[in-house]
Amino acid sequence: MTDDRARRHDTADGTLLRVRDLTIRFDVSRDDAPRPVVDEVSFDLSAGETLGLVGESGSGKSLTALSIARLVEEPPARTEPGSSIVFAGEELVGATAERMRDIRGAEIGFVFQEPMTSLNPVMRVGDQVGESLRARGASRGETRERALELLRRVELPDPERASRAYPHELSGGMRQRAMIAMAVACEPTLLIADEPTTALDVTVQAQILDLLGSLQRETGLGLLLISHDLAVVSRVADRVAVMRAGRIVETGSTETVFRRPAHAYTRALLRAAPSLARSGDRGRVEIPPSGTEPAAADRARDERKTPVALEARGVSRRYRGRRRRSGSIAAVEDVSLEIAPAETVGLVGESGSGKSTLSRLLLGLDRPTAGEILFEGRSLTRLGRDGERRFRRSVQIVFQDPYGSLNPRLTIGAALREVLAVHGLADGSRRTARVAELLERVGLDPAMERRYPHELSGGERQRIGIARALAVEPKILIADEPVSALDVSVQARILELLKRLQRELGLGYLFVSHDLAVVRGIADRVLVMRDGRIVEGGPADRVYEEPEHEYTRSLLAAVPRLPATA
Amino acid sequence: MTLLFVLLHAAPGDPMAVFFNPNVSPDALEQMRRNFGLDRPLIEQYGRWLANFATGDFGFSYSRLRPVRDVLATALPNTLWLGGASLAVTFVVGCAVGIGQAVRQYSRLDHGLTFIALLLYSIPTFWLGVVLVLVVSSDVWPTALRLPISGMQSLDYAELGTLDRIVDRARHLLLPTIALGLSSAAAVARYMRGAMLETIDEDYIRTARAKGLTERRVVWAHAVRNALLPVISLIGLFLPVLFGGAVVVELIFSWPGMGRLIYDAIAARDYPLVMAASFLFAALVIAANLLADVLYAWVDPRIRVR
Repeated sequence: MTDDRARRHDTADGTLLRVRDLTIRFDVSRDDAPRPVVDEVSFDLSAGETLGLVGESGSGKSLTALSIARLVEEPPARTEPGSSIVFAGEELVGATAERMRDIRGAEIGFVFQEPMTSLNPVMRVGDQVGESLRARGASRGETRERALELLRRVELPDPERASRAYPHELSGGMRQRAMIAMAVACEPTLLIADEPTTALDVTVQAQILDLLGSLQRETGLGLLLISHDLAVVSRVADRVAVMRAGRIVETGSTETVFRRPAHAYTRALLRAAPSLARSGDRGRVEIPPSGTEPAAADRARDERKTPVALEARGVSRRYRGRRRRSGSIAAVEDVSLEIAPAETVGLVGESGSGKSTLSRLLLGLDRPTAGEILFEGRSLTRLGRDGERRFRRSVQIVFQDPYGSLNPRLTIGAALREVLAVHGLADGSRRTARVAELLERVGLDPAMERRYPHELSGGERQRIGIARALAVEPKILIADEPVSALDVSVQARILELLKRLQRELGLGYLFVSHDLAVVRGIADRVLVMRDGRIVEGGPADRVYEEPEHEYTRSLLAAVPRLPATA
Repeated sequence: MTLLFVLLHAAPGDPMAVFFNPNVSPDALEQMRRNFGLDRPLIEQYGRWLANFATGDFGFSYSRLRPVRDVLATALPNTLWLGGASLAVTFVVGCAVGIGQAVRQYSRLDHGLTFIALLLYSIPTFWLGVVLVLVVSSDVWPTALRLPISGMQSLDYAELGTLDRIVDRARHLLLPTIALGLSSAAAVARYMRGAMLETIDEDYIRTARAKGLTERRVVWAHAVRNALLPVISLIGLFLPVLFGGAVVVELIFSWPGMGRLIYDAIAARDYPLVMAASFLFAALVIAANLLADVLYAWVDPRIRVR
């Protein structure tokens, strides 16, 4: 094995992968063939090196990575003549299908983004890890032993059990470890990781990145890391290539690209990236007329002159366990919080910490098993019919997935008019006028009301989600991961919109997110949630700069940071 | 069951009509009616029937003059043979065709099979059965391939060896099974094709390819098992269709099963027999749904209860 590996690495200059003028088009049969999705992309990767391929969604970075091992269906895709992919001295463009199959798995390993959907749900993890070995002639016993060894190597707790488990029985981090074990089963010389940590919590993300790093040091494999997350890339990559609209706009050492970005697009990306260090000034922030913004925030932060709009007092939500003896499981335990108008409360925590359950309780969609929720000082259970109607109007939600939460069969206008109709607001022609007004308010063209959700971009859809919430003139918006599904530059603009709306309408926000940096940029106060409890809370600056709780500190330490731009 | 009871008795006709015969005296008929309890008020008949039924006493068949239990005991296995074979054909053929089509999506094979499936699906069972009988028994059909078109065994069945008996039974089963199973198979093929196409786009199929597996292994080990999940739940849906079709097919092919039994029993106003046979059909359908659920849990680890 060792000899074989040495031989494979032994190309003239140590270059493991050399991509030249890679161009991929779709729909070439049509006369008006669109622009290539990957356009003359060139880069090199040496053995033992990590290259970060950065770009926003649709930039062609995943397609580039997949096409290296010919994992893109051709047709409809087509690699244009003149493209060249040389891997370990061998030209892959034009190689036979059999040769490509041998290379996949054995010499080029893949780690994909979403370990839940990327693993076969009906096959045991051990079998999936060993499958590529088995396909290459290993005996059943050898395969099982090697699979266990691999699961141990990726530091899965209790590899025996994990090997027998099905993917749904493992946590997200464990699944991604299994995925990595699978990718390195045949000791590949090149590992391609496509957004390997995007679906994971920050602390797990840090562990997975460390694992990839240690595997690389141990085996000397070349790592091609694809990510939209600049901070993740800056943490692990030796060199970075920035992609935009199918082209690589800038390549260089991580240090150079992040500290002295040459291309305007790279600079814009870096500006848009949320950061833990500072609050406020993200990309494209129009400086508000002096005086107005601080006033709104200060007003809320001051001793509360304004009445608290929404309050939770010692709220718990327990679910009964499956077995009688195991008692009940607390999703939310003894949580108290207050949200005042014109104030933004950030709620951070990892998946399973109870953020979403708490949001549901505050929206009145679920009832606490202990404690109470108060709206304008009155308990939700004692609002009465009129009070309840007012509560429903006053507290609105903005969802994470702006696509999944819009009815695909309704035009934007119809969806917004429906909200107005349900709440008996603005009828007849006034309703149409109101829809136009709402769209303008969230920075969209009123003509957009005739479009369907699938015709809009992610950012536009999230603006619609906000417009829908605003339609009933709420006082409080509960935003559940409102920007997590968006690219950084879009993220920055949506956050800017939320801030502007807060200034204009005096809205109170509960901003729920797993992303500490995003929360840093918008929240006045921050609550840190873990296992259903609030472990720390206070003014954002204090929590981020002098975290008191152990857990907050470990969370903050796990967040990858961008090097400061020179 | 109550609904069935009411409907049956509301329908015109006299269960003793089969015995109408110049040689049978009206007095004798009246006597039989008394023996069967048919002179009692309906509500009493119902109560008595229900009480007996609950203890497993299905009553006495008026038309066959044997206990219902015995009549059913001879007919049920025959129907299970036919139903089982058709179910197997439906799903084995259906899935195989669906997989084949999905793997070669938009090929000539795919289009051809789609057309054939649509054709078969629109053909009613009774027509297909009759046409099969006509074709197989016509002169154009090669003598070497001659197949029995009625009954479930040859006249000399009793004298055959074990192997010959199996062959004989299979030959008799062939045509009714095709008549009964083929159009459902066409429907299953459509479902399977759709399920496969959906599965093939899943991320884990890409993962399997990224491991360097052969296309054959990608399809069979990864795609098919996942695509089968939605199709399995169809078993429960198709079984009633097959049993319904069995009534017609058993008539055409003179298959001595439950379907024919029910048909005859309804014609003869043989209330106890109709009630018991219908009950049995319902029980079979429930059993099939249970089977589908068990299969589902076996194939999909995610819904297993621990």
